[in-house]
Amino acid sequence: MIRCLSRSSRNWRSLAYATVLLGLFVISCQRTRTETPDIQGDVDTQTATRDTMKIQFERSGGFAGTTVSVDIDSDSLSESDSRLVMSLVEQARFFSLPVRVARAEQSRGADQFVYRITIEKDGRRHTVETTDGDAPPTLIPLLDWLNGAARRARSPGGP
Amino acid sequence: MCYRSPLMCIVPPHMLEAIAERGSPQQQEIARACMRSSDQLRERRGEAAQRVFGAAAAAGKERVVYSANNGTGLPGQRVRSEGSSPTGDAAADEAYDGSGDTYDLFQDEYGRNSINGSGLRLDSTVHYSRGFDNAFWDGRQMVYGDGDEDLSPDQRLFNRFTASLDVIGHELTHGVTQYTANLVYQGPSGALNEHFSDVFGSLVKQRRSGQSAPDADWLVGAELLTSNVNGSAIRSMKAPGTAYNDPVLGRDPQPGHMDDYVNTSQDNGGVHINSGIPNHAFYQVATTLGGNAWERAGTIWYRALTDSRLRSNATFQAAAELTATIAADLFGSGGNEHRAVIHGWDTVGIRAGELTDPGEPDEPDEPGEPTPPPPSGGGCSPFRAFFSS
Repeated sequence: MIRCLSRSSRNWRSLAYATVLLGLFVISCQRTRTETPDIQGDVDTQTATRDTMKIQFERSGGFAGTTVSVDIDSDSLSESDSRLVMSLVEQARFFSLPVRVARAEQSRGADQFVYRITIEKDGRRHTVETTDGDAPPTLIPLLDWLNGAARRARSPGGP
Repeated sequence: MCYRSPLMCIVPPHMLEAIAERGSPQQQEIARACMRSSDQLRERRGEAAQRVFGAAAAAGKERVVYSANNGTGLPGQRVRSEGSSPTGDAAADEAYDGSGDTYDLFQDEYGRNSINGSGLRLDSTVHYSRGFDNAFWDGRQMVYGDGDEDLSPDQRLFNRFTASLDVIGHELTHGVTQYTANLVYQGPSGALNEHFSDVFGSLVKQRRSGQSAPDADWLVGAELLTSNVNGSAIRSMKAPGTAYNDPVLGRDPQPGHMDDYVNTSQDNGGVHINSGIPNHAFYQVATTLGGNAWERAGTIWYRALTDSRLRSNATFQAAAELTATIAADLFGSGGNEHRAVIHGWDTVGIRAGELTDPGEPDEPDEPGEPTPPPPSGGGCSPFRAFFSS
């Protein structure tokens, strides 16, 4: 009898545990639904749409003293290019750079390119000016990409 | 936050190399920057040793050429040293030969032993970056790109920048200016800085080719432009503003007269643009005098550049007056040289001085018969020895 009673109390206990777990599960599902819009296939819960970023780039000076410039809107780039440029901006820690990136002593040198970059992202806007010799290594990949885009943009065939 | 070059890295080289190969992009960049700074420190120690140990180290012409291997680390990998054979890499060999020709001009004609007057080693780095349509002086060395080789052939505008001897001479002269007048690289003084580089770059080329002033083309960077560009060069000292006129590259923006001075915030206040004005003045002086431009005109200009009266913030006016004063001091007041200098600056709208008997300079002298210098009191001092510094 006691054994029978024990078995049935175990059954009730199991049933109680299951009920509690089921209840918790239902509650958490409800919470998830209210916090996360139902987007098909989107694992990123932080953004509903793709990040956008605008870049204005100008390169002047250099031996020939010419100027090239290009405006980039990440919306008009391919997805892979857009991701690449965003990562280059991240890598450069662009928004933390001083407005004028120069060495401590008066810049020596001549015929270097002078770069002026303005980026708008997430409501922030920041401008940085630097040269070939003064650019920090982490900024150079972004400068290279923008330099290439600007030179291609001026070709007769366009970008 | 301070963005000085990272110095004094304590991470050992083999770790830096591993990080440079296998780290995240950011880690790779930082590791390469550390390695680059270490190389630079070692190079600077070598330079300091040169200065300390004097004649033993600074024997005269000494050149080293590096390759950046399409990266941006300086100086890069050593590919050629003084006295070694050609490498077969056109950019490296052009940088080597062109540095030598520039050294020879300053030493043989003006008695100057390299950039600093004391045999400073001439370092060049070629193959800098990718799609780098430029050459520059970084305060310690020359750096040359390969042009826009990353574009398709029909889009390419620029060849490698060592292809023009006057470009090499131009960059080295920035070093000379840094050690002498140290003209501030902004506005009018910056345009003068550019001007002196174009002058001596051109003189290196003319002397190498044996061209007298009337024979020379007075173009700067003629070999840099591909056939896709409608133009003959980057700049013209003979006719500023006419070097190129191309739908993609644009039009040569240089003025040839003070009335057309360009006020702009680009290009450090248009240093490569307004240099056209003094450039044209020099062209006028040299062709008025005739003969080899590096002899009289070049000597006057060299003396002006290295004269303490040429301040780092000099204006065109101050430079013009100084060249006229020097011409009078060296060759006689009212002489052909003095007249030619005043006339040359006058053509670009600058009044360089007064002549007691104002009039056009005489017809150019016969080639090979320069006006003798005033007596030095030492008997027959050689022309060049008189001006040795």
